[in-house]
Order: sequence, then C-alpha cells, then structure tokens
Amino acid sequence: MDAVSRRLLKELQDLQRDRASSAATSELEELAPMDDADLLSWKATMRGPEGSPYEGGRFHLTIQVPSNYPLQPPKIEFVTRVCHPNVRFATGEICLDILKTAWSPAWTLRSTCLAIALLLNHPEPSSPLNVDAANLLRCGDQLGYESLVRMYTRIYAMQ
Amino acid sequence: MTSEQQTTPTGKEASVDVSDEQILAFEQEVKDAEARERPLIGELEPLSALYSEYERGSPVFCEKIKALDREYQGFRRCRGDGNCFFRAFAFAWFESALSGDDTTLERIRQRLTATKQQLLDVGFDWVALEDFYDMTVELLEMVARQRGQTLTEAATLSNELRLGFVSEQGVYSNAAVVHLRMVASAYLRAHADDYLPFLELATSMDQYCAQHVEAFGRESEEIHIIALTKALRSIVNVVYLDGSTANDGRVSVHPFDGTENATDATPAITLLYRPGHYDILYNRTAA
Repeated sequence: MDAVSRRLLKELQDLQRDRASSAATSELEELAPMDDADLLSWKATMRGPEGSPYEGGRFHLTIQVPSNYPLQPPKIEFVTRVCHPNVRFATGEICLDILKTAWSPAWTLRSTCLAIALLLNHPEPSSPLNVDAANLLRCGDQLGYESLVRMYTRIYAMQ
Repeated sequence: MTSEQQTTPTGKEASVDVSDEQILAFEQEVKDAEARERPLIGELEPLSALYSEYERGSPVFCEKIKALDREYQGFRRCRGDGNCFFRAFAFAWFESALSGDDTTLERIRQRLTATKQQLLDVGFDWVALEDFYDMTVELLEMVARQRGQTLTEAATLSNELRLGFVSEQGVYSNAAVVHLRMVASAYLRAHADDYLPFLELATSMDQYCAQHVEAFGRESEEIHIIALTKALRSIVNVVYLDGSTANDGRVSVHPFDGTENATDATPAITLLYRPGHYDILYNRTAA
C-alpha cells in the first residue's frame, strides 16, 4: 500500500473510533471518503458554529487529497454557498493559510476541517476573497455583516 | 499570498488575477525541475568536482575550495529542494551511526527513539506523525541489519544508506525530513520563551513552527540547526563557503553543539554551506 493510502486509512480508522465521542461536541458532523474505492476524494459536513450568524446552517465541503499528501495540503472547497470574507462566493474556494503556505504534515483532514469551522467564526477581512462581506466588517458594520451572512445561510444552508 | 479580487456576494468577478494555487503549482514546478537534475543524495565526490564549477568564476571561491580540499576528503551533494539541511543531517547522522562503533549506533538509536516522546509532549497528533517516525526508524534499521551480519565495509553501508534515501522516489528520506522537522519544531515549541524573542516576524511560536519549520520544502536557517542539534544532542559543524574575503579569505566554520556533556557525544557532522544550500562534507581522517 502506498504512503498516502496508508495515512488516509489510519485517519479514517481514527475518525471511526472517535465518532461517538466527538460528534456531539464538534462542529464537524461528517467526514468520510466519497466512495470506498477512492480514498483521495472526501466529503465533509459542518454545522454553523453556535452563536455565529452561521448557526443553524449545514455546510458541505469537498476534499481532494493530492498523491503526495500529507507533504502537500488537501484541496478543500465549500459546496454549499457561504457568505464569508475568506471564501469565494461563486466557487467555494477558501483562503486559509494552512491550506496554502502554512500547511504542515502534522495536520489531519479532521483538524484541517476544524480549522475551517473556526475560520467561519473568525473572519480575516484583511485578505478577502469576498470583498463585499469583508468591507462591511472593515467599516465596522457588524450588524450589516451578520444580517447578510444570516440571510445567505438561510437561503443556501438550511434546506 | 492572498489574491484580492472584486467579488460581489452574487458571484460577479470584476477582475481575475493569479490564484494562490497557481503560485504554489508554479513553485512546485521549479522544485520538480531541480529534482530531475540532482538525486536526493549524491555519491561521494572529490572537492575537485566542486572546483571545476567555480574555475571560471569567483577567485575567492576557488581559493577556498583548494583550502577545503587539503582538509576534507570529499563531499556529497544533496538536492536543493528546500529540505537539503534536514536531508543532509539525516544522512550524515545515520552514516555516523553505521560507520561508528556499537556504542555510537546504540546512542543514535536511542536519541531517535526518544523523539517520539518529545513530539507527544508538545501535543502533536500521533496519528499524523507515526508513519514518518516509523519510516525514519526503518531507514536506519534497514542498513543497521546489514552492518551486523558480516564485516561489511563502511563505504558499502554508506552506499546502501544512499539507496535507502533515494529509492521509491525518496519516500523514506522524505519521511525522515518530515520527522526531523517535527522534532526541531517540538524543541522550539517546548522552549518558546527562549527563542521567540529572536524571531522577528513571528507572532507566536506555533505559527512560526507551522510555517517555517514543519512546512515541507521550507528552507532552513540557523534556528533550525540550533533546535535540531539541541533536540538530538548532536554536533553540526557548518563550513561556510561564500564570497566573503574577511578572515583573510579563509573558510569559516560555525559549530552548533547541542550536547549536554562530553560523555554523551555522538560524532560531529560536517556540512558544507553555500549561500542557500547545504551539502555534506567528509573529513580526511574519517572513513
């Protein structure tokens, strides 16, 4: 078995072992390969963090694992539309340093997804992929920002 | 590294520029091009091979290489893929274990085994790191097994080790690189108060380590050498081959001594540093 499959299988076993204990507390509702025959494509579902304007929403993501993972980061995108300063609205592309320049092989798919859940609640408006959402924050319009996010969460993430 | 794009919430993009993925892909291409030119770890070469590269260039380099030739029997090239310090260290460290006496091998084995606890102590997720650790241990043991069997010559063992480093697209030596990066990172995280004040651009040790120490392919600086030698209680002598004419044009040697006392020392490793790159140097007395 090649190194990437061995590593992914290990992560999968770890996820299955901890599923019962962590599902209730974590925002990560689901994280699994799309198909048992292909360990390089995964899907994830996360709940909008409580107390955030994403609360109540369920967000789906796709994860493409490169063949030299974990030396290189996985490619993770939102499938569900999400309004967030660091997510491109049209494509779901995520701007998060650990997915790019600050990736370390110490991350797992699970810890990476949890970092994305954390990003939902901690936007970084100085490096935006969604300038309109970022501008509301940059001008200090917290109310306007949260209303916009809540609206899009309701439209796209609460079916 | 962030692309600012005028994206509206309705998804209309006013301008398109180069994405981070494209930049990363381009950087990877440059590294891959280098990879095709040089093996991860080369064979032992005389310093005259290095001299010929500079013959028509800098006279300062030429003089320094001649001086090195008198003192060192040769050098071994490492691929310049950003991991050269860690890969050179791993090779030279294991090579010293294999060519030394049983005490040296046992000592290096113990230092390597002890790193597992060092990583767990700073809270790393073992699921993510155990493969790298296991493969690093296996890389050493593959050759150590042959060492025990017969009166195998040191040069043969070195060559077996080299094969272990380059075979299967370097999957074992890449694992060793990752593992040693995590060991250096764990040391810095455990001693954050001592080292953070010296890291100008870092906001936190966690952030610095993830971005500059753990990231595969990220170039090493002095702090990486300090951290690794301290964590493994080893000695690295870095021989600086640069265009400087200070010190009467002699090459300067910077020792990094991570030992705690003289009795637990393992053989010193000598690396040849040219600005931006590390190779391995061999003393005339050794081997």
